[in-house]
Amino acid sequence: MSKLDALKPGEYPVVTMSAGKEYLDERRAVWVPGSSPVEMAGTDESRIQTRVGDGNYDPTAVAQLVSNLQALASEFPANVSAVQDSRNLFDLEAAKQTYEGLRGLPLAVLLDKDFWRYLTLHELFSIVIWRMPYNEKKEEGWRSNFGVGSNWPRCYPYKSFLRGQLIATVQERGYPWVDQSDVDFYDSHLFSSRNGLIPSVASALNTIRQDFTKSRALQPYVTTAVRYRATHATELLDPAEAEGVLRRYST
Amino acid sequence: MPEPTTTTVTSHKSRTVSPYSFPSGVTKCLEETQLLVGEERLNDGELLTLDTGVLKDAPKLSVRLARSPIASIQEEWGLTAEDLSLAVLVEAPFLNLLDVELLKWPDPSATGEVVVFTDYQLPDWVQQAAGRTKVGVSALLILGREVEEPTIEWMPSHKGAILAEWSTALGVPSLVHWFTPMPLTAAARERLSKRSKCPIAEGVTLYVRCDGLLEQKSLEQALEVYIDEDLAQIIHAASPTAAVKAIESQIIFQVLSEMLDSMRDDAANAEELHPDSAGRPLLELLAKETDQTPEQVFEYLKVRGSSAEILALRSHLQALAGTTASAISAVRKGDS
Repeated sequence: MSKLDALKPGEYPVVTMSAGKEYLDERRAVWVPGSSPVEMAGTDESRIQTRVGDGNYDPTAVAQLVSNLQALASEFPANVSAVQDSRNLFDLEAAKQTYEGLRGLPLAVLLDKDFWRYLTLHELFSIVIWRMPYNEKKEEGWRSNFGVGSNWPRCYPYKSFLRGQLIATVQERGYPWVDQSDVDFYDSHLFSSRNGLIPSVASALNTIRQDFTKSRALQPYVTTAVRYRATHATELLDPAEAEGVLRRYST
Repeated sequence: MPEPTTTTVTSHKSRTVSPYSFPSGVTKCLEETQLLVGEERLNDGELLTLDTGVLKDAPKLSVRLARSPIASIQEEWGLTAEDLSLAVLVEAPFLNLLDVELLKWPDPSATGEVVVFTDYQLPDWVQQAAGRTKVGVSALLILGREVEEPTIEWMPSHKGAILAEWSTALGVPSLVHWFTPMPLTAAARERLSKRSKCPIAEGVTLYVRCDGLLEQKSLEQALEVYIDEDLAQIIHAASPTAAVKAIESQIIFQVLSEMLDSMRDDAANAEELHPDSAGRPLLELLAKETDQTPEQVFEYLKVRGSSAEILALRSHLQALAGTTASAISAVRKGDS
């Protein structure tokens, strides 16, 4: 019986850092550039271990996410990574689906980097390598997309989950929000600073972003948000108050 | 009174960077104000503290606030009790979890040196997250509203301005979450033997490969820990019993003990554990065992193992690691 089919209650699959490095090398070696993201589902379970956490892990949620992301990928051109608009749109939609698909998993599972490596290397490998093709010149950065490089926040499914979570949180609170598909808005302006953690500030930056055609123009507001947080609990401001502060001190 | 800070920006205009300037002024003011001394958990110079001990038993938090400096601030700045608020922030940055709440002032007519806030209920996720990831808890004394006409030029006037802050982290992950032992299977033995050019016999239950702590950014990248296949299966499948936790700890002590031995032969190896490298968590563990700082332990390690401190440390670790055999036995028998 497959290791994944034999999970006991409370168990969930993981791939550790060192096993993940080897797993990535193995899978990349047989990946044919240009392959469809549905062609390379993982079958080798030798790198996978199981771990016990609080709550019950639901493998069908992961299977459904894989299916949904494959269906989404099929709507995009094969060279998605080379076309900025396409990859940005894919990333946005993938973020929403990743969060929706995984939000019900136990917290212990979502807090475990080794689970994210399992998800990335075993379940979503084809999608991630299709979206982030191998780059020999920037290999260390490329490996980070799979959770086995030196920059953990670049792990693609993890990053997507956080992005989707922020969008859902802001919308569930009824804060102003317009979907932005540019990567810099999320990666540089929200998640590389504390701004991604504070929904009201993220909403305010999102509103201000609409004044500009390029996200680079948002940088002074981002800087203000970070500096202002050093002296003010911006978590307690509503989006309108946060927007007022950012506009007042950024111009 | 402190003056507002002035700075020059690249556009060659000079401007006052308020509101960024006033925290230093506020801090100084607070330092100069009469602070509470020695009442319960408030120490000399502390304005604010937070009792995390209760987290272990109940999902509540209590915050203690010195009353006299608060009264001084209110009088000096012309504020009422309602103008100041106490906020609690709890966050787990790994998953962007955040809980923020303003606490109610307990009985405003009460007197006494300390105001105690006990009504904050921690969110459900805290107890699940603590121990698995870093959970930050902060208590903030803030200005609760906009002050239209500040009585003093530099005084904080914007809603949310932080007047005092006390932070701590809960549940910093243990070392065992940073490198998970992998099963030492027959295939792994063969692969590792080839790689290390040294045969790994059947009887070997623990194999550690350290791949340059200095070059790597984290322990999990630098260390590969393999343990006997049967043992690994028991550890991964079992609930985290006391015996399992004990053996995980002892694996770490054994790793450290072996690293110390290698440092005895070559002092350059000590650099691998430099406090600024990925080895810092290991140094912190050693420091905890010896009531030293990580930097002090590092200095000891550089003395080629000849100092009394490092000899004592090695002896201590070897004693801890020496009980691994009994721990393995307990796990295999299923003792908890």
